[in-house]
Amino acid sequence: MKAITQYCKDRGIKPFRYQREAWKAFIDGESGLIHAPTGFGKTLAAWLGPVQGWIDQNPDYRDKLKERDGAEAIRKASNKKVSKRTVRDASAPLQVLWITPLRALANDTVKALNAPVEHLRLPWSVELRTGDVSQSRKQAQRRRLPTALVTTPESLTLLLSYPEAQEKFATLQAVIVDEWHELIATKRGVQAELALARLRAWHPALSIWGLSATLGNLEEARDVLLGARSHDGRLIAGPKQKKIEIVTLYPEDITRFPWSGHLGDKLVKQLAAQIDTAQSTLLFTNTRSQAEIWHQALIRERPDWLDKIGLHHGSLEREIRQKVEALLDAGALKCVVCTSSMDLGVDFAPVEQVVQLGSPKGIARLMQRAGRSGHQPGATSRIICVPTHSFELAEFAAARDALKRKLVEAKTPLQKPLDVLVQHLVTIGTGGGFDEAALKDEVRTAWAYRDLTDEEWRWAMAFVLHGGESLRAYPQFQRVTRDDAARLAVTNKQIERIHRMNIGTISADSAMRVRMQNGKSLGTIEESFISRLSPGDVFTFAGRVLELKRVREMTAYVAPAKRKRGIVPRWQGGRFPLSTHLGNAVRRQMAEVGQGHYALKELRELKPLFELQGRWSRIPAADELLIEQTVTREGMHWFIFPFEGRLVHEGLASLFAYRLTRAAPSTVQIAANDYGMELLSSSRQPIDAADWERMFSEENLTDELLACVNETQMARRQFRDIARVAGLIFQGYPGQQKATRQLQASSELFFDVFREYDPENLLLKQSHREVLEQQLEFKRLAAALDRMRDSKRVLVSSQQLSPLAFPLWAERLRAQHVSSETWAERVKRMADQLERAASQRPSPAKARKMQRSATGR
Amino acid sequence: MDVTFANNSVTLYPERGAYLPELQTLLVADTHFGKASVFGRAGIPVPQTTTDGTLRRIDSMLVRSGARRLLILGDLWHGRVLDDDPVVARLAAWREQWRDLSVELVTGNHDRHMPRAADALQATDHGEVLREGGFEFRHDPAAFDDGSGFAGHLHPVIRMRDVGHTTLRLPCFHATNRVMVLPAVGAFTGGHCVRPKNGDQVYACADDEVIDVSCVCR
Repeated sequence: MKAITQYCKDRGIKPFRYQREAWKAFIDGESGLIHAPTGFGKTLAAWLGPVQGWIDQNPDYRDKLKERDGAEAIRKASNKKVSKRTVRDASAPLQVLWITPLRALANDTVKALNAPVEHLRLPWSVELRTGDVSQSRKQAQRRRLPTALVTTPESLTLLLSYPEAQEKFATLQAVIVDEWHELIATKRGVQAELALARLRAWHPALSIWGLSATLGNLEEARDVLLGARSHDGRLIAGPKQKKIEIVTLYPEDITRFPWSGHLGDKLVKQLAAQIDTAQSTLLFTNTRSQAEIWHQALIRERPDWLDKIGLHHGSLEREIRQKVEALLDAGALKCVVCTSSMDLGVDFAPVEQVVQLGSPKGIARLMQRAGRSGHQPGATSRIICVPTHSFELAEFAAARDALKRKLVEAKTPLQKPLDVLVQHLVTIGTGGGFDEAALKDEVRTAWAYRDLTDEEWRWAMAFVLHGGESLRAYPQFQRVTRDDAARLAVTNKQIERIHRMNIGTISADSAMRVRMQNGKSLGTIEESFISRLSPGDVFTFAGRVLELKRVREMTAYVAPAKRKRGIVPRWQGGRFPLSTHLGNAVRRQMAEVGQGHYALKELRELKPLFELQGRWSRIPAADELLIEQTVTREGMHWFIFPFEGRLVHEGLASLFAYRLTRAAPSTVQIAANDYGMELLSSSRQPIDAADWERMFSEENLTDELLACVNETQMARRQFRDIARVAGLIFQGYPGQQKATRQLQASSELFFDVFREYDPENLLLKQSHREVLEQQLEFKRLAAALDRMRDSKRVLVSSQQLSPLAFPLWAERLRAQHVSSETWAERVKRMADQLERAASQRPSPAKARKMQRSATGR
Repeated sequence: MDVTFANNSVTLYPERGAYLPELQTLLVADTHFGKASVFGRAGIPVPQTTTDGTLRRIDSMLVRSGARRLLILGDLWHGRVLDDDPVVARLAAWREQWRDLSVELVTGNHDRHMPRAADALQATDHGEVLREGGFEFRHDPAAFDDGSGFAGHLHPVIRMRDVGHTTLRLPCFHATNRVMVLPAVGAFTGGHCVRPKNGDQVYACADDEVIDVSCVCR
């Protein structure tokens, strides 16, 4: 390892032990997963191995270089022009594929990889290939790939869709998958698995290395990456995470009736003061809406910061985001309000402080975000947590507790999504065709498809060959066809073109572009939001207050508004659920408090709230399941608190509602948050002990959950992504839409048509399975139900909405209200009345009366 | 469900058609025949049996209303299909079953992809508009000047909030005081949400009944 050791010495880098270990393992021809926290040189750990490996194979490269320089000098002297192409073609042939999940990171990665290449004067070319790269560059790359190619899973798959792919990848030595933890639990990860399976089939000795942040299931993550037939993959651990210090920003007074997002506003002043203390601050929010709201709030608080506060989230136009990143790098911004779009980063300039707004909902996320402050190894990462409602203080306390116990969440890899397989079959079909048996074997080497049954394979093949299993139902269909030599290939040019345009698994439909009237694009907002607005309405987006002018062909044209405030768009799927670890930790804290132990400051601050909870209802002990029962004019409310995270509660609430209504016909409304769920029954029929047993029973669990899934919109929503991946609906490019207009149909329509006319379609079943596994977190749900059965059920008839119940009540109301303004009004009224009740300690009779007036419509 | 529209009695069917007793005519709009074929050729699998679904709906309404005439308010075809496409034979066979029925068509924007659109159903093609009984029958509701009548084209659906977190989307008849827009009868057709104005009538097709939801969705 002479060359790279020298490089490190020259550059003043002192390699970590894990880096040396990784280099040696690579040179020994091994594969594996390297995990280390951000800022500990994972990039170098993975990159210098292949560099040294190539130098070992080409020890005389410097001499050759001299020769070439000599020849060039002669050519220069003779005034012959050297085309770029000649220089390019002189670089070493393809050695390394570097796969990164984020296009935004790819540029930085190229820079980082180039540093040692230039220093060692390697005749290597390091280039980017993503959706953003110019067409001419892509053409050049199709002719000859660079020595190292930095690309995304989508762009790699696209490369595989060309017939000459195998030949182009002939000299490939290593694949490095960056930020594997971001990919592993996604369909993009599965797409990468399939691409890797193909590359491995071509190069059995290929070295594959993944880079990951800390995960709860590192060994599994490694196995998924290396494929179903791997063994002896290495797991190389970097230094321990820097110490994380959680600092909480306390509101001046704790409201006893918190609801999401509204306590926070009061903290703007304190937050601004905190931001003022540092050169640069990253302010992480959990949703894009929240980022918009707080960006506005900070500017209102400090108008002089107008140009000093940036906004960064995934729906903003790329140029806008890049500008913010560059300004932050240059030290021109005081603060950037951002979402997880800024969670990752190769070499972002370290910021002085990191603020987490609201609960991080998971330990891994908190660690990652904290890691952005004080980037130098060894220093303490400090993260300032700002609650947006009172209970989040308890979540900060829980996070601290979980950190101490070194608990980190796992990311569950996906199991054989058929939509991705279907897309892959067509991709390989466009790439020159395939032999069925060989491809089946290859696909099964991908971890996600290791258990793919022959039946499922046949179904996927039938889907691309005939459109479906029943030939009768799909005549005229062609996508992949069988040629004389029994090879399967895509022969229709239009299908080929449309397919290439739609490779990928990221769903972006129903997004509407937002443009200024001069044509400048600001980003995208969901169509459903825009469709509720009329021209003249004012909303906030991209950190500006905008007036809607007109809507044309999926574009909303806007102009700066005169008003100072506008409504803020909501994006789907923005909210993270509380992770299992954090949920457990909250439950632990709760139990401690119930015993009168207020060990952490956050909990002490919440004392008045907990005391009220205890007075009006109960603080559940570790082995208790708290159920509050309240009667109001609306009907009978049950509030159940398992502390298992919103997704699980949503699933459980639907299940309970289903079981209740099947036992006795009535209307049951539901609401869920991270702590529990509300069931509201109009019938006021009490639930007795035997009923509860039945509600929590595991009997018919899967079937009944599936029945709920069918009755709700969940499967329909999930099917949207599946339809897009399986090639039923096109994303297309703007401008190209016209050509395919006759082929536009919504995923909902496909869902309905399949359900009625092809109910056995496996894509439908996949949507059910995905709802169960991903949306409802089935395993976690079943475990939660187990725990609920084993817990001591404590049923409290409370006369008031307790502090725990109130947010649920508000949450349900929100789902019913069209306008957030009238909702906020009503919730505030209710909170005020409860607050009065809490401070007056009224007699029970008076309390009942107050209850009625408080909930009356 | 019987309703009054422009002083005439009209029967609305949940299968998405409207019957005019005075003209003994069943109105349907936007059958979009051949859509599954067009998709299939482009490599997008759609069960071809959707054609049967559409025809079943029309059959049911013809039987119940006893209509002597079927008037299709445009977009009979979704796009161009070839003569040997199974859907052509399927329609011919259907026509054979309803030999005595008069089938008529006003043409829609999609029909321009299909030369001799009316042929497969041996239908009378009235071109863009048919005027009869004081009504105009057109494909595009925007093409009405002062006249009153029936149209299709928009595939209206109404979005309503269900209890809990869900919303329902139901195909609907959407009537202003002059023009009634019919929902698309085709089994493989989507819809566009309507935003009814004050005074509009909206009748939703919910499973096997038509429900007046005019007051709910304002």
